[in-house]
Amino acid sequence: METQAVRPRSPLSQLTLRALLALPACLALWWFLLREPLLELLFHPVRWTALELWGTRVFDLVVTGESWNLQTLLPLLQKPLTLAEIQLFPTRFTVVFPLFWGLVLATPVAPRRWLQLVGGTALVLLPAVVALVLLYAQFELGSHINHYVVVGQQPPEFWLLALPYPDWQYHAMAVGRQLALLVLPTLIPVAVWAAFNQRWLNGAMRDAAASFQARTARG
Amino acid sequence: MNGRHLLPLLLAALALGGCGESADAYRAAVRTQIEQGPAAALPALTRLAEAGNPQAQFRLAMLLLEGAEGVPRDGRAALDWLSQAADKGEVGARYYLGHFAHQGFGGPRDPGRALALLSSLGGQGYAPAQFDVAHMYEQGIGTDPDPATAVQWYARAARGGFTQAAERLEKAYRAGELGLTADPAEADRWRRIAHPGSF
Repeated sequence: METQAVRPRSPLSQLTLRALLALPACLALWWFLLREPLLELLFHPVRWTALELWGTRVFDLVVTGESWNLQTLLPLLQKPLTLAEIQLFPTRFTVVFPLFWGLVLATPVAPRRWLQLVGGTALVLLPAVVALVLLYAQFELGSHINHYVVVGQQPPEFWLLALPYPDWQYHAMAVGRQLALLVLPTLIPVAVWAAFNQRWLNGAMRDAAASFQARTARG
Repeated sequence: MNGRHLLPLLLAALALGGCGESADAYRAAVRTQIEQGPAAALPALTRLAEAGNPQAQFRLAMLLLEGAEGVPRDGRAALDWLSQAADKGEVGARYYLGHFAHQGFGGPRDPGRALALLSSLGGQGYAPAQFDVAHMYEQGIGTDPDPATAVQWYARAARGGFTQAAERLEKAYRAGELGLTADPAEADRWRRIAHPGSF
């Protein structure tokens, strides 16, 4: 009987197979256990930064169930003693964390894996996610003030007593919102993971290129 | 960096620091009003208003106008605070002073002043004021009737998201009002602007 040598899996295949296990596990961990603790972790830096950035426009940020309420100092047109509140839904941004954890855990040879997980989460992802929530909050604030539809977002029924932002600024806020909601939550964890595991990634790419060339040469 | 450059930077930093303090103090006054009622917030708001904080001046004016719980109604003082806040550019103060001048609240009706106040606010892009100015030009309030100018102001307000302005233009284009030729296609365009989700 002829035996065939088992060819070791390529690093990229190993990553893919491990990611198929690690990503769902991390997403489940996030969804069922860690969503709320992560939101609590984010809340204070977001609140502090919002008050620093928009001191004359923001009264406070409070948690109300699943959402955060940005209480503004901007009076309503019809009830000038009542201040406007803007509902924010920040949970979606915390998906950055399980994506990063899943990738780090799936990497076959990750230097200082636990340091990557803890340091990457605390020092890189946390500030990045705070920035994402602020980009989103800034657009919501702008939408309540400028009051016309951009990126398909309907403004509220009520009007505020505040001058609108210049058009270019409002559109820049809309771009910021789109980036914060659609692009950066997936790009950031991948970029941070790639930066931490550059050496392994280079090796995996070289291996993939060599194997592609070998297959091409064999015809 | 030499001292000549450092001084303006230092002054700017101090000014910004001052703004932050004023904003914190105003926030604290609003918190007092929410948690303990308007009467408890009155001393802090008055202090801030006297120090020249336009947000506090506007809020104090509104409290005095409304005669909120524990705060005696005082229209004269309210108008004084509104004027001071309006001089500093406070949007609410300018908007309400414009309306009060139109209604004759706290003095004789002064539609010309109302138009001036609301036009200046509308000129800075505030759509509700633009709608009011358009209406005044349409009706000849504070000015001679001028449908062409009214259409311009309605269009600005509509583009700024003020639904009633777009609806007025839709009606005008459908019925050929405001000196416009009836144009169903243009009417439909303004209807789409008024109700962007309905098509």
